Amino acid sequence: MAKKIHADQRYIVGLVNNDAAIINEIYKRCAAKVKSWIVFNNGSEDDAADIFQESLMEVYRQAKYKSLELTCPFEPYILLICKRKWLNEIKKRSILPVTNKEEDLLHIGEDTFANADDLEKQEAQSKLFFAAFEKLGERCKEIISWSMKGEAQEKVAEALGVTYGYLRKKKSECMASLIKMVQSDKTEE
Amino acid sequence: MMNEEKLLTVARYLEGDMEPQEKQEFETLLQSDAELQELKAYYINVHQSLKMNIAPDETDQQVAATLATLGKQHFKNEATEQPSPRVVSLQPYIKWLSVAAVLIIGLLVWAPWSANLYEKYTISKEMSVVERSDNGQNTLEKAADFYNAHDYASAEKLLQEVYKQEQANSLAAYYYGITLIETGKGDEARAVLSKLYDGESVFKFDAAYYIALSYVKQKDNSQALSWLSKIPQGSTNYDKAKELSTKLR
Repeated sequence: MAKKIHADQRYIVGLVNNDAAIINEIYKRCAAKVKSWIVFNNGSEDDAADIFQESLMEVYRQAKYKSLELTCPFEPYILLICKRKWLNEIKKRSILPVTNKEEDLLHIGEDTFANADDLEKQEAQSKLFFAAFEKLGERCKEIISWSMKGEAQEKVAEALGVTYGYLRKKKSECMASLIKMVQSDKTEE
Repeated sequence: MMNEEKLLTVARYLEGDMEPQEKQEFETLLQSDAELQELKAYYINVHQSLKMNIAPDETDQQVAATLATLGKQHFKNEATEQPSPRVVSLQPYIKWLSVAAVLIIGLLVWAPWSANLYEKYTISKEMSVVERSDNGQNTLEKAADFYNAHDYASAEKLLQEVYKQEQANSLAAYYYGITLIETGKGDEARAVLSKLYDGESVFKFDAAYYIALSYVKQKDNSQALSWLSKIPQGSTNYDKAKELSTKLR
């Protein structure tokens, strides 16, 4: 993709590297804003801390596992993600929001919306994939999670009481049937 | 190949379930088959999404811990909170506010509590030399005597000697760093200690802690906080670091 990566990608890199100085900078820049917005919208300080952490964790995961690339400034991006998350949470708890959805965000650039949309999409996808995984047979689930945890295959085979050859074959089959399931879920929608 | 068949091939390829010969053939085929390419990308997407959910690794947990610590610092403190978005006229208060501000700034500059914080939160009050090496043993022991008698300037000179000879001696480096802080050479201290922090010695996080203290001494709270946050949960000084962090905010 020929998109231009924003200089604020450095925050993403800092997150992925667990760089405390950079992460502290993120908190310094954004925490107070998230807090005042969420508290203003009938949340507590704890809610704000949770939402902010959840949002950063999601960004971190997308960056680490799926090489998320930021094409917009970081601050409005993370604020927008937090706001959306809180608006969702409010809906779940049936609290009335004070500010209408994003009406106070009109000055935010289109690229920021696009980036935040993308993250939401990825998150939703991720849930879908996990739901499909849950529908797999016990054996498949076991094999997939063991191998994703990076355990040595020989060890996994031994733990599950199967041969190494069988494990390898079964793993591919399990993953293939998972993908098939996800694909058919997608076409059903 | 049917889609299903292709899918299984992609799975076997990506899961490393192919012999070299077959793998090579698959790679050749992949270059010309757009559907196969798409399946491969899709497979990787599903695999990675799933992996972050069911198999979070150690770093993921460390990042979560960093966020939790910083979250506590930044969300639980009323004093640093931004004013609420409601607009209130400040006119009548401004005069008094400015008087208060001057007083507060004065206090901050003077900061009688900061010096005490340094004293209160030092962790290595005693230097003991357990390990005996042929070289520099006497110097180190002498240095320890000075150190324990709080004669940091004398200890510093001796430790500097040892440190210059044995850069890898983490004990000497650590206490040398502390004596530098005690004698007011913050920058030099941090140069020595951050090398320790970058390494893998037992003093790794103690070094981070003392770098933070050196900033406390210089009243650079933001740097101090950032170094304190490098001390992971489960290490010896974690609780102290956390407590100190709250006081600094």
